[in-house]
Amino acid sequence: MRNETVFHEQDVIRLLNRWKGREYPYPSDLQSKRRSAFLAAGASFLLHGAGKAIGKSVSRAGHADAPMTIGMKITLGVLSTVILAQIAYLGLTYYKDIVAWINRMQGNPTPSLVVPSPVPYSTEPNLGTITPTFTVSPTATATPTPIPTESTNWWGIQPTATISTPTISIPTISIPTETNPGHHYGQTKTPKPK
Amino acid sequence: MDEARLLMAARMFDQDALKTIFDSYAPVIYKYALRLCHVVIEADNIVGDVFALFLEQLAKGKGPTTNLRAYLFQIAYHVIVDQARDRRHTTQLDVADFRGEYASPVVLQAEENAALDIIINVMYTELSHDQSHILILRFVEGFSIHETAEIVHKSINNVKVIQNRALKKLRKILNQKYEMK
Repeated sequence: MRNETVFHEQDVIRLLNRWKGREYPYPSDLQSKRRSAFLAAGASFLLHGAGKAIGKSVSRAGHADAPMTIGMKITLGVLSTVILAQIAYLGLTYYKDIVAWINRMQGNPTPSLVVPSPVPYSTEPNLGTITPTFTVSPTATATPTPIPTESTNWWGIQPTATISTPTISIPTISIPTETNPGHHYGQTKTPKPK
Repeated sequence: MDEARLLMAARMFDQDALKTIFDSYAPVIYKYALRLCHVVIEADNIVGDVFALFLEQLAKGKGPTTNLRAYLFQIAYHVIVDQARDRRHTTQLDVADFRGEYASPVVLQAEENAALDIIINVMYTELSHDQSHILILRFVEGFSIHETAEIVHKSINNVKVIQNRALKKLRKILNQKYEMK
């Protein structure tokens, strides 16, 4: 193989091939246990896992867990469709009766269907109908209580002056909408004093 | 019984077919596993896992239609790679035990035997999982490049690259070891 202690790749491959010659026997006790477990698992699949298995033989067709044939699948599909169609038909036909019965069972009165009137739709807000005609007439009258005079008349002088009660009258302000020339907020024309 | 019939019978969980498959391939898978993991119990567990997965595939209606050997090696490869990821750091003693206890030597020249021991050691400690697997599959188990690529789920070119790098590395380390002597 080598006289000058230099290995080439072919030498490595040849050594690896030699590795085949080394025997590694499977210990018999371990192998027999593994084989028993494997065969038991296979038997278990045969008995209980047949439903999972696909493409099985005809001999297992009568087995309780045997997979469905195509005919069975088609029949099942047709039956399911018919049943669903029947349920849908009955539901649509006896809808009101069913609803009433359910409400009766729940103790609720039968709700009457109220259809709201349609709301007129316009692209612009209908500001023309708003007429803010309001009148402010705060007629306030201030009647001050006369201040009691203190009897500090140390010199015997009688007071001659009396304080008359003032009457403040605020004029009634009326803002007619037709004559209001204001167009923008903050530019409302000040009413002229009469 | 040819392989196609054997597989068909195995799909029906025929006990004789399953027994034949197990007896034919369990020792081979065991040897492959032992070459890579070097521990008898682990190799035995790998055999158990491989055949359990094989049964599951049969139950699902999958599994091989031809080349059962390559298929079982494919399962074994994945099982070993999964199990070996966490085990790489505790190897040196195992390798020594493995060589001493379970290698019943065919007559080899002493020098070649020593070189092979070095290679086994280096494969276990220096090479990557893929490199070790590919070298064993190609040169020990005798699979073709195409079969090896299928087993390790890589392209043929990729397998060639991995194989060449592994051989170069082995050769380099082997020469270094012998220069030191």
